[in-house]
Amino acid sequence: MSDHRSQAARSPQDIVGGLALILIALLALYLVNHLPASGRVGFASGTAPRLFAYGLVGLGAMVMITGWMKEGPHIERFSFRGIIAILGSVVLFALMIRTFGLAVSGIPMVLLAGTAARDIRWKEALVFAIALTAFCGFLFPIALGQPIPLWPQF
Amino acid sequence: MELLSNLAYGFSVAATIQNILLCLLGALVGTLIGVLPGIGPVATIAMLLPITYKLDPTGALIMLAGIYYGAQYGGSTTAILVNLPGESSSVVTALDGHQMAKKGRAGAALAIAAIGSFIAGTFGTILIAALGKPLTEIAQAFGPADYFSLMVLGLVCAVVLASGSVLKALAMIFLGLLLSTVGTDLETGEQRMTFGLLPLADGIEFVTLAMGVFGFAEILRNLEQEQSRDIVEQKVTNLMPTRADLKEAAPAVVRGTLLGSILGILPGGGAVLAAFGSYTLEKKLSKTPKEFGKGAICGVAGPESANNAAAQTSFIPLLTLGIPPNAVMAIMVGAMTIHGIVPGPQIMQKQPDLFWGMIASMWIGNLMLVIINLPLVGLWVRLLRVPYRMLFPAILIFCAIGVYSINNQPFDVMLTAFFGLCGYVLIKLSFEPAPMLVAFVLGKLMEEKLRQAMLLSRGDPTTFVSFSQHPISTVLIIVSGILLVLAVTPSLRKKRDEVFVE
Repeated sequence: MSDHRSQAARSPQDIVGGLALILIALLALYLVNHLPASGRVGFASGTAPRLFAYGLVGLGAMVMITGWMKEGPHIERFSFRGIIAILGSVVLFALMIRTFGLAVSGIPMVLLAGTAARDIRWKEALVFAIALTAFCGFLFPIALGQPIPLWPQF
Repeated sequence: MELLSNLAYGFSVAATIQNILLCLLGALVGTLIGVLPGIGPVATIAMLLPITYKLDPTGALIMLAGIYYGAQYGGSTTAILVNLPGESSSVVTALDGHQMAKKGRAGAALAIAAIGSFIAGTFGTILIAALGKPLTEIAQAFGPADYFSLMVLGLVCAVVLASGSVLKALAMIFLGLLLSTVGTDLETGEQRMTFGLLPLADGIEFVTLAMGVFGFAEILRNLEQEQSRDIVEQKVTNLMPTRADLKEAAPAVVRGTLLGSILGILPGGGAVLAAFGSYTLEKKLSKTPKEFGKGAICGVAGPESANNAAAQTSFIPLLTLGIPPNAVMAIMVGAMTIHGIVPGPQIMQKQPDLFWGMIASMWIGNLMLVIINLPLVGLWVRLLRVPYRMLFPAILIFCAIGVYSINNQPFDVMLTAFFGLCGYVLIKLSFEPAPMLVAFVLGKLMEEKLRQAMLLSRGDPTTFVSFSQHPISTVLIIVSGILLVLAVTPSLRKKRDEVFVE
C-alpha cells in the first residue's frame, strides 16, 4: 500500500498545493459569476478577477502535473497545538476586544498563546500575562492615545 | 551642483530636533527587532502605522524608514553572537560571523559588519539622491500602458528572484493578483468577492495579509523548531578590527555594496537576496574558499554591506515610480496613503521636503546606528536572554492591537489569523509567500492602468506591444518575456538555485 502510494503521488506537496490553488480559483470564478465578463472597451468589473483566476487554474494544474511527474518532499506534519494556541488566541482577542476591552481580553489571550510553547510554566505565564496586558494597556490607549477600548463596556 | 543643494536642503529638514529624535527612535526600534529573532520590519512597521497618524508625514516616514535599515544592523548582532538570524537578511552572516565569535573575534566581526553597513548605507543614500531626478523625469513620460508593462516586468523579476520553483512563484503571483481584486470595483462600484461582508468592501487590508502570512506563520514555524541559543559568553572586546582585517574586508564591502544596490532596486529582491548573492560571490572570488564557514571576514563584510545597501536602494522605485519592490516598501505605501501622499514621481515636486528630508535622514540614521550597535552591543545581548516563550505572546498581542487599530475592526484581526493559517500551509507546501505579497500590492494599480490603457486603445490588447504606439511598453514586455524564458532555462536555473543552497 505504501509503495503504491509513493508511486502514485510522487510530490505530495505540489499535488496538494496545485489542487488548493485550483479550488481557490474556482471559488473566485463562482463568486464573480454575476459580474460582467467584458464591457464596451473589453474591460468590465468581472474581467480582471476572471483573467487572474483562469491563470491560477492553469498554473495550479501545471504545479499538480509536475507533482505527478517529479519526485518531491513529503508534507511535514502540522502542529495543531500551535495553530490552536497561536491563531486561537488572536481570534479570542478579536471576539473579546469590543465588549471586554484590552484590560480583560489581554490576559486570556496571552495565556492561550503561551500554551503553544512546550516549556510553559503556568505560574510564570500567569504573571507574565498580567504584566504584559498592563504594559499594553498603558502603552497603546493611554501613552500613545490609540482609540482601542481599555475597560469593559456593557 | 543641484544635487548638493538638494541634499543640503534635505539635511535642513532632517536636522530639526523632532526629526532627529524620530530618526533615532526608528533606528532604535529597528535595531531592537533586528536583534530579536521572530519579528521583522514588516510586522513592526504595520504595528506602528496607526501611531504615526499624529505625526507629520515627513517625520513619520523618517521613523518608519529607520526601522527597516536599523533592522539590518541589529540582525547581524544576533547572527554573530548567537548563530541565529535576528533578521532573515542576516542568515548568511551567521555562517562566518559566529565562527569568528567562537574564535574570540566577535568584536572584529561586529565592527566590520557595522562599518560595511555604514559604507553601504552612505552609498545607497547617494544613489537615491542621484537617481531620483532622472528616474522621476522618465516616469513622467509614462502612460498607463507603460506603467502596466513596467509592473509586469516587476512581477517577472519577483518570480525570477524568488527561491524554489519558478512555476510555484508564478502561481503565487496570480494568487496575489486575484486577492487584490477583492473589494469594490473602482469604476462601477460593484462588490467583488466580498461574501457580502462590509469590512471587505474596501478590499483586503494589506497589513492583515502581510502580518498573517509573514508574522503569524513565522511564529508557528519557529515554535516547531527547537531553538538552541548558543550565546557567545565571553565579553566582547576589541571592537576595532585590525589593519589586516580592514584590508582583507575592504573589497568585499565594495562588491557587497554594489551588488546590494542593484538587487535592492529590483522587485522581489531586497535585503535577503542581496545578502545571499554577496556571500556566493565572495566565496567564488576568494583565493581561500575553504575558509568560508570557518570564520572568513569577507563572509561577514560582503553580505552585511549588501543587505544594508539593498535596504536603502529599495526606496528608489517607491519614491520615483510609485512601485514598491518588496513587502517592506509595500507597507511604506500604506504609511504614505495614511498621510494622503501618493507614492510616485510627483512626490519630488509636490513634497520636496519629504523626499530630500527622508534621504538625508537615512544618512543620519546610518551614522546613529553605528553608535547604537557598537558601543551598546552588551545591552542588545542581554535582550537575547529573554526566552522565546515570553517573546512570542508579546509579539502576538502587539500585532493584534496594531491590526485592530488600523480601522478599529475586530474583523481585521480575525482575517489576520486566517491569513496566518494560509501562510503556515504555504510554508508546509513549499510555496514562497513573498511574490504573492508583491503581486497583491501591485494588483490594484495594475488593474487600474490596464483598464485605462484598454480604454485609450478602444479595447485593443495589442496596444501594449505596439512599438509605434507605446515603445517603452513594448520594450518592457519583451524584456519580461526574455527574463521569464531564461528563468525556466535549465542551465540558468541551476546557477540560480546555487545561490540559495547555503
